[in-house]
Amino acid sequence: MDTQLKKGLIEYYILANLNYGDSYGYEIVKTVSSHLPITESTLYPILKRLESQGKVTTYSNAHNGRLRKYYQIQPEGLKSIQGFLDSWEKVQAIHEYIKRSVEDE
Amino acid sequence: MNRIEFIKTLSSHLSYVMRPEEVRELVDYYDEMILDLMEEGMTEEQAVSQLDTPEQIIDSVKGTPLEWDLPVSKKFSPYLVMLLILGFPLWGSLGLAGILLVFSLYVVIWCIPVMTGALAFAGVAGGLASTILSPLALMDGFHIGFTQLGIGLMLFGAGLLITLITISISKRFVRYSQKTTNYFKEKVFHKRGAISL
Repeated sequence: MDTQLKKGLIEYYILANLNYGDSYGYEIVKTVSSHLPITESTLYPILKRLESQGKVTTYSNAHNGRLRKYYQIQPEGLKSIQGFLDSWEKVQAIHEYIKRSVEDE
Repeated sequence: MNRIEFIKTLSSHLSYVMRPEEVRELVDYYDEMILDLMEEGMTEEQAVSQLDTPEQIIDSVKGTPLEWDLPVSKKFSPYLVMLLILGFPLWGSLGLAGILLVFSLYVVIWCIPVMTGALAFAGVAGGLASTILSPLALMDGFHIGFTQLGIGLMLFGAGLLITLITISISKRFVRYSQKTTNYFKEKVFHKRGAISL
């Protein structure tokens, strides 16, 4: 997939992932990677950004004698997902337009 | 590379480009990744090799803007403002003295290249004039004209030589000036200077 498109989608994918339930770094990488190949280094700044925008919060939980950082979606994040879904009609219209340009040839 | 080496390399390099809390957060993130990968059955080395190298991580971090939330008090209290105004004769003159001191340092530093530059200009210009006009001196006699041509060429050569010297020391002085500027910048603003890894 086009990297620009991927960049735009990853954020919503992560938010959706967290909407299914709280998760931690490694699990998020694994889940996201099943559709959009992503590395740990790409994920980190996105999570940081989501956190600073108030779309997710973090908390630590003990796991096997160490602390694991969990990410939890916030109302602001849900709003962001809703906004993405609402803009889908527009995306579809653009998709149609692009598709027609190829078919007409 | 094992886990400890990875974390050490990462944190020592990052400490130049990030605040300590940011470094700790980022290192914790990667440490958690390594431990989670090891829980999946990988060895320590495999887990580390699975991740980007510290160098790659540092590169990617440098591309993202850091978030600044410096504790800046939003409002000056009227008392403080009054104190600042009343104290201006004191801190104003001290500040001005400081600025002039720095300025004089630059003047002193640049004295040398300016001097050699002047010598170079004098040599080249004088030499050229003397050489070009030497045919006129021939009218006073061959030996005078010939001497003037020789002296002119010598001056011109010396001028060129000093020009080369000026260029080479100017480069060095530009570097010195930049260093001094950075030093004062860091001293005054306590800012992180441009550090290249």
